[in-house]
Amino acid sequence: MANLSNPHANRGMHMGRRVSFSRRAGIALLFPAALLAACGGATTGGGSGTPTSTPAANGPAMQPTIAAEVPAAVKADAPLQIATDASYAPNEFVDLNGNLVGWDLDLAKDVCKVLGIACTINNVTFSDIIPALLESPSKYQMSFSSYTPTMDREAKGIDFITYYQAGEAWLIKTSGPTISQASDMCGHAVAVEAGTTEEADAWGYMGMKPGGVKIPGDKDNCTAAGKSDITVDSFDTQTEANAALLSGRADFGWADQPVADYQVKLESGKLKIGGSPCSVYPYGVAIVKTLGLDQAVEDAIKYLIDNDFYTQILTQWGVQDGAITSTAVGVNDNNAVGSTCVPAY
Amino acid sequence: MTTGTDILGTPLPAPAAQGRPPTIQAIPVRHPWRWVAAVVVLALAVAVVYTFATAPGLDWSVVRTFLFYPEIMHGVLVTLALTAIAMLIGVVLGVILAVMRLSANPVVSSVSWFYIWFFRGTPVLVQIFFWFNIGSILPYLHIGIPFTSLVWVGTTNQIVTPFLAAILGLGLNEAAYMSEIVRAGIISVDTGQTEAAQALGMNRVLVMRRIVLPQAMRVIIPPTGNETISMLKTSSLAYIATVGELFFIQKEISNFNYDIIELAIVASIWYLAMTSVLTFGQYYLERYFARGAARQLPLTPIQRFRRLLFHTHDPVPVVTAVEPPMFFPRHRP
Repeated sequence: MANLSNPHANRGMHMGRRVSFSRRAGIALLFPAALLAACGGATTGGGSGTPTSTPAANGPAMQPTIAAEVPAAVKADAPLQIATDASYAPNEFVDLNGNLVGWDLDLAKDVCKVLGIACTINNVTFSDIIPALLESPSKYQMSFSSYTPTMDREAKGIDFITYYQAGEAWLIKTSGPTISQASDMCGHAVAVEAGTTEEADAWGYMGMKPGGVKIPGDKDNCTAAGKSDITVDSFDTQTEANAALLSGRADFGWADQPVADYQVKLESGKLKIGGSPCSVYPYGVAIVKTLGLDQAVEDAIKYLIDNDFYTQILTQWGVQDGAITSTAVGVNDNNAVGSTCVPAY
Repeated sequence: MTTGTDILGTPLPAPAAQGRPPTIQAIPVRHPWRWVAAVVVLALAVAVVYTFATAPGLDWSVVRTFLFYPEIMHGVLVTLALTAIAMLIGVVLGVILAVMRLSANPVVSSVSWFYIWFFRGTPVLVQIFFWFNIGSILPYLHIGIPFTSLVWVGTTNQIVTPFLAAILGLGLNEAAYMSEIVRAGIISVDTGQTEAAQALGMNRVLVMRRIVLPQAMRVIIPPTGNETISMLKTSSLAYIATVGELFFIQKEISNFNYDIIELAIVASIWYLAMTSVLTFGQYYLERYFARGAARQLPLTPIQRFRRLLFHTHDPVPVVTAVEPPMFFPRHRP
């Protein structure tokens, strides 16, 4: 339960105003500490979502053979700069004390321990992460931010080391319109985070790239079915997209399964999941291709999986459904497990 | 020609004893440092432009591709619409607020003061954000005519669309600034004007409409043009309400092609183009309203250009303000 209070703290810190809105009445009862922190900027002891009393939190030791695979140039440049978009609870988010937490980041810290290299985790707007990785020399060398490996991203010079798998899930209000498949989005407003695969899929369903740029030779599935188009509402952070759904601004939210599940738990009774998860893709650690860090990170993740650190972290956060085996860890695996939410675009 | 002593008392040389004084060999004052400064500044400017124009990571072909892209063009139109509507609200509401503020009625004047205090004191980004999310505190809006049973109920989110949320945020904020500009304009008109008009038997409304506001326009126009240019750029904040204006569209496109700087340049080119047109328009507007005050109107850029080309044998006649604007009082001193 302690974990659940954190996204509110996150909202509070980014946009203190929102907490004072009436739908936050429930928070005041359930999470008084969150309200306190949001209003007064006060820091509260305890209540943090970071699991602290577990073996995994103590973390693994440095593994010399894997550490040896880290290129000397990367070691010389330490600390390694890791980017994450901390609006994606429970994967990565900001807790009451302003710490960056989440199972994705716990994994990131453990990877750094195995590699024996100091790391700094930076909170960066999702859509800004890849451009920052692509700078030369790059601003951040690596990103743990629930990335789906896609050809577009790889073509730009990013490698993805897979470490998890998750589908996309529609979030709906218990009192709102329902959805079970992509075609149900037509004629409705969908709140997504800018730069995510969900945003690309929503536009892709209409034969367009985000912003409305037509994809040559592709068709608009909504128009083809005689329905009106999807209104894609894109926000800088997932938290803003969630707020748009709750305020009724958007009819649906669309995010990764663990994130959607977490929101349902958080806004108990108000939200539910629509349909069944689709487009189950791997998550990948985004690494600048030219760094030569792929092998070391891949081996570090395999080590964490084989030695149970991985399972402990996932179980702690209740996201073990998406766990993969160490044999499934690989570079740039773009294949979906099962069916995709929208046809190829 | 005067002779005698200079200001220090030194006797001036006597004029030549006979005939005309010798021709003065006037040598213009030399300004070598002006040349140095010009060269240094130019060199720096060229270096800066060259550095950015040839930046290794910059792909100008992307800029060319997207400059006239249909979605970008649509974003330009939305930006213009946002600017025009928000400024319209700002000017109309601003004039009302300014008049209220100057009212002798303490309630009316205090309400105006409070409005300005509130809307000028909070960031416009927060205001747009507030209107965009107002549905979370007021899920339904009841729009009705008082004392009748005519009531229309709708969800707030149907009524306050993202576009309207942006308009409200930008327009209401602008009204606060505009009212101060209008108030300054009204105050700048000499009180003698009002007194004279009242002596002619005009009532307060007529004095305001016929005498004060037309003269205040000269003071109001330049900062209003400034505000319009500022609004054009501030309208980019509407992106937080997911309004598909220029900045939002370029951001959406660059989120997926990762050419963030190239798309930002595309947007900047359009913003510059639009503000340039506005600057040009403001010049003519100012010129129009200067007719009652300036003896000689400044030349328009076109006239200046013609003069530059033909001034030796075809001077452009200087336009003199003989005809006052028609809404100026006929019997001016």
